[in-house]
Amino acid sequence: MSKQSPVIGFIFALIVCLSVSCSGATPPPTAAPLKIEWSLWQGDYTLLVANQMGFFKAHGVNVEPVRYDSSTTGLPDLAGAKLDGGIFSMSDFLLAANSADIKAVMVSDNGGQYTVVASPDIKTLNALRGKRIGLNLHTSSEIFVTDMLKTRFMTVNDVTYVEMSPDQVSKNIPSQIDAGLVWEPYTTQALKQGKVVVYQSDAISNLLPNLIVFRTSVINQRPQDIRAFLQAWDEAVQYRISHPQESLAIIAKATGLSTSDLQATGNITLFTISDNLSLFSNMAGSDPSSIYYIAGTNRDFLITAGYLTNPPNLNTLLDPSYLK
Amino acid sequence: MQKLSNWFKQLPPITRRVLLTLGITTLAFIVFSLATIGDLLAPKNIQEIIVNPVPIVMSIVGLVAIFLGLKGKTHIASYLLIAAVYIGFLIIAIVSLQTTYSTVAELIIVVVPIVIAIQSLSEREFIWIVILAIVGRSVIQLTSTFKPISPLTGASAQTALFAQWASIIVVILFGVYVALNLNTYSFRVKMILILGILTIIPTAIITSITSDNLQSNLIGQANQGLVSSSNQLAASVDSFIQINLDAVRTSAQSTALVDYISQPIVATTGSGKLFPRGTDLEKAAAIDLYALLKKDPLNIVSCKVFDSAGTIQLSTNQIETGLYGLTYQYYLTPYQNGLPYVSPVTVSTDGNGIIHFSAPIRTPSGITVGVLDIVYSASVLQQIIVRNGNKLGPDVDAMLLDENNIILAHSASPDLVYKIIDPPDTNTITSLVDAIRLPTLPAAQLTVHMDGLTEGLKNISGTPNFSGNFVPAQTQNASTGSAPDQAAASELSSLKWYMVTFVPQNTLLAPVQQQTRNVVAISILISLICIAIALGLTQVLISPILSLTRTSEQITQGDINASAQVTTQDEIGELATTFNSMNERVRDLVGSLEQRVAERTQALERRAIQLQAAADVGSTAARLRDLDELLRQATRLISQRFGFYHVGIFLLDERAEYAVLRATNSEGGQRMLARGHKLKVGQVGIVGFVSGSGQPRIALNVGEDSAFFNNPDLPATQSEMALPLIVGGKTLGVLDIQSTQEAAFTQEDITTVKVLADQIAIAIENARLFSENRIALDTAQRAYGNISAEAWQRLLREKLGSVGFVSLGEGQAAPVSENASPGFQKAIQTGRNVLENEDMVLHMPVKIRGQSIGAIRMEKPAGSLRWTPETIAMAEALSIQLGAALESARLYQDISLRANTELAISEISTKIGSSVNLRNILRTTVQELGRVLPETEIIIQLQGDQSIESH
Repeated sequence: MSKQSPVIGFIFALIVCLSVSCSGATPPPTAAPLKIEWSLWQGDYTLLVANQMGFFKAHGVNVEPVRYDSSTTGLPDLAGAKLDGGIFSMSDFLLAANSADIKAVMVSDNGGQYTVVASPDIKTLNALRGKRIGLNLHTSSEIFVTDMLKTRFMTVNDVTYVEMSPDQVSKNIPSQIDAGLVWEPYTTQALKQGKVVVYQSDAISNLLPNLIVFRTSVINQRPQDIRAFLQAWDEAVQYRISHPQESLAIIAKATGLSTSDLQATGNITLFTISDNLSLFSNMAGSDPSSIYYIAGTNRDFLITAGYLTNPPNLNTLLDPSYLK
Repeated sequence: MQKLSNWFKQLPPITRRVLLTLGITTLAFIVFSLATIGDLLAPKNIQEIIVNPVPIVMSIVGLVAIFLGLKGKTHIASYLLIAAVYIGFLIIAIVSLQTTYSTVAELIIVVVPIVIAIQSLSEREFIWIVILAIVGRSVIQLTSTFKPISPLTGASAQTALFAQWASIIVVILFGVYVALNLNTYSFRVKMILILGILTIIPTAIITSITSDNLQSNLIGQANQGLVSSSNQLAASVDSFIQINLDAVRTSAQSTALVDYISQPIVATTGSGKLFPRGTDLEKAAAIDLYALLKKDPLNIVSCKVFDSAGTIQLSTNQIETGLYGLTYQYYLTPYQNGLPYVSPVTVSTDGNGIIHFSAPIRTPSGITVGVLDIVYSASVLQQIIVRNGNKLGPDVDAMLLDENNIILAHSASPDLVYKIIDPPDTNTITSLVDAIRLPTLPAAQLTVHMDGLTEGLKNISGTPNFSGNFVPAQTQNASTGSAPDQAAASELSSLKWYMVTFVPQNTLLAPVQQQTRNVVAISILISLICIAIALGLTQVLISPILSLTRTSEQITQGDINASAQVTTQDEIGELATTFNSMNERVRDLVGSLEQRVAERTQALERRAIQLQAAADVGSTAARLRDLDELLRQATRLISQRFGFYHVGIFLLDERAEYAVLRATNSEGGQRMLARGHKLKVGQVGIVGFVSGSGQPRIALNVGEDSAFFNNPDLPATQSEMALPLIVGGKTLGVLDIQSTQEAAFTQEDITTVKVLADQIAIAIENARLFSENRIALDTAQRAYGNISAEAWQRLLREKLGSVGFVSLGEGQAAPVSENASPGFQKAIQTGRNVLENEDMVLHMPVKIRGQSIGAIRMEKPAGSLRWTPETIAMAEALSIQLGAALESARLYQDISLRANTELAISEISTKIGSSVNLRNILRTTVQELGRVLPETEIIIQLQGDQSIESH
């Protein structure tokens, strides 16, 4: 037996080595960057801050910000898998979810200050009656403007909606439109060009929040990256709050905008993960601050406006599980 | 060379075989090392750093093994090389994980250690090496199947090919070598080899065939799946196009649009003339256009209405209003042929693709008054294949190509959209850029190469499946690697576009690999079971043969009682049974032979004892001259040496009337002897019969012998043997032997005792003759002694008188007169020594043939020692010598006298003979006699009654 022990030992050693090597055979994680849409919107700049500050890298996730002139134009690319995610308004998200498999995992900001500017001859909201209003149709802009009309007992039939992105608004007044919906930095640009503010969104600040949206397949394939992304995002939000000037410099550098233009931005609320947990924890349908309530409002508008064929399932589309 | 050959031939066969094996293996290693030396010097990664030096190390170990083999240490040399091969090829196979090297390693790791083990190791060690080889091969199979690490990509195809051929050559060499030397291997080794080959090769073949078939079937299924997928996706795009064509066609029939576009042109803007703005007709038309927008707000870029002059009268994108579109195909074509139209994908300046769905706007009377155009973002195509592609299966991707091989959608690499695949030339690119079919970018950024795609698309009508590489390397993920893709293409029905679905062959073959893994695992299990069965079967088959061999060896070594165990009923069992039967017969033969030899030896020993006894008796009998002593000793010796309780010798009386018991050894015999026992010749008892007939008689059971004389002195007698004592045909007596056992006498006993009886008879005769001769001799001696004494008396009386001498000392002697001392006379008369004067004077007779003719007086001087027996013996010797000398002298005188007489007679005869005259003869004779015999009167006379007288 003693003579045979080395041979048997050798065989067992081989088997053990083989077992160990087999069990440890897991492919390395993919390092493909998450392509994230952003556009010139204060809420989206958190992405730039996190990227510039290396928060993503610190959390082990590779992120590639992809700039779009309008977040709306990024939606087809998201649906076409050209993007992995992006920051989109609630209405855009619900609209895209009608045909694309996407989910919102976090509320990035409250949508900030929507402003309706007009030619100087239009002084009041009532003066908009019968006028052409340029806006991104079927988006939160339309909800905002429609809600604005309601405050003066008008409907969409009392005006003419013209499809127009905010960057086009100022220069098409008064040739194509009489008024238009803008946000910063286009608000400042419009005011500089002699346009006047007709209405601003301070009163209904949380109605049109922006969401961090990912394709469902990406979420399923890279859940750890999603969590890391949100953690880095949260870190960047906190950095922006605690270091506004440094953040401004970073954003200015990344966007190519001047700090003055950026500073002219109206009020905007950036949401941390903690804020999100609160937003997602509130009961849908009863609490106006609940993200489910807000989403329901947006969904109802889109249905009413005839944009949706199938009612979106908000409980599925809004997924707070990656916040933790 | 011749010397080397001679030297090699002188080596022991085992050393030769081992050296040859080591040499071939090491040579192969060295060649392999030289072939891969380039890789060794330039390792590309840690795997190559580990793998590349292995051939060199194995070569060095091989040379060391040859050195040890030359030193006669073939056993350790073999182990060294086996270890080198085993560990070396395990490292190569496991670390490199290249299929080619794994196959080579599987082959080598099984063949080489086994061949080396066959040459120089014991059977037990060989079995372990076989098990080790199978385990090693299994480990390589498992690692090459499951690939725990990424395979090495460094080795060139040339090196792999070389390794394959080198291993095949080595294996063939060893195979031929083993086949040629098959007869030198033990039965067990042969069985293991044959069973191993019979089990491993079929499993390997089955594994290979199964894998190939499975692979073929699964690839076929996968190809069909891919074709189905491409058809399905193509149908989706076709459906999208068709739905939108239908939508634009029906929307163009909207009353609001017809009414709006039918109104007169009143104003001009841009290139065209515009209708009045802000009218109800415009509002109604705008509502319809925005409603169209809502159809797919995500992807519809804009909706616009052309008038019959080609001017955009109304658009959801306000900035387009007033643009002139007469040259656009999406305006002209529907306007001209009256059918809805789908445009090719064109790329706008911002790099986004769009696609137009347009339809003519007709009045109720059928007159075409304008065109409705719905502009879609071309990313909708990407969305379609992404959305539908997700349902096709894991890792199945798709791309949509237009007629120019421009990628319109690519689910795996959206970045490739609006790039052209392998354009024939740059002019094509330029023209496509001009036609805004491609973005305005440098040609290098607009092209992409995809292996196999262009060729594949050419043949899709016949074979929709083809392979290639359809995902650029930088966008490949680690799970699919750089393996080629398997693809299928379908042409859309609505446009000359192609839908290509593809899947990495690794994914495609994943089920195959899974099945292969299962098959490999099962084949390994089967191999191990088969080898275990082979070993067990070999043991079962060999065991009785080995038992039989051991038994035969035991028998060969002398253990004739060994027998083979019969454990089976087959031929081997029959062989063992036959062997045992044969051995039993041999054992019986040897046993009986031994018994016969023992009996023979015993008989011979008994015979030798008998002969020795006979010799002793004969010797004793021959030595003894006294008849009575002879007979007594003879009976005693025969009884003692032969173990008979009664031996008696009868001699016939002078008249041969009775056989008289003369000697015996037994007590009963002694009583008979004392009683003067005698038996009537020819009448009483066996002795009487034998003495009468002269023939021996043996009664093995005296009760059954009629001649037996029931002697009360010998009541214990059960068998009796009586042998005649015959010399010269005359019966002297009978030797009677009696035993207390029945049938106590064998033929050998009879023969021996008969010889003894003859010897005794001769001894008896000799004793008689000796007795007679001694009497005659005594008589003769006495007669001669008397003659001699008379001669001496006459000599002394007539010639010498009393003659004697006395010693005077110092060698002087003087004659003496007659000595008449009484002692002197007494010595002469008695013939004995006479001592006188207190033994100081010795008178010793001088004897001739027992007759005293004188005496010697020897007187010791006073004060000296007396006569002792020693000095007397010395004197006697001198006296005897003196007697002999005197007798010799006297005889000499007599002889001389007789010689003279003879001489005279001769002379007389001569003289007589010289005369031929009768008278002369007689005269001469008388004269010569007278001269010879002087003073003797001589007369010679011839007569009838006459005589011749001489004087």
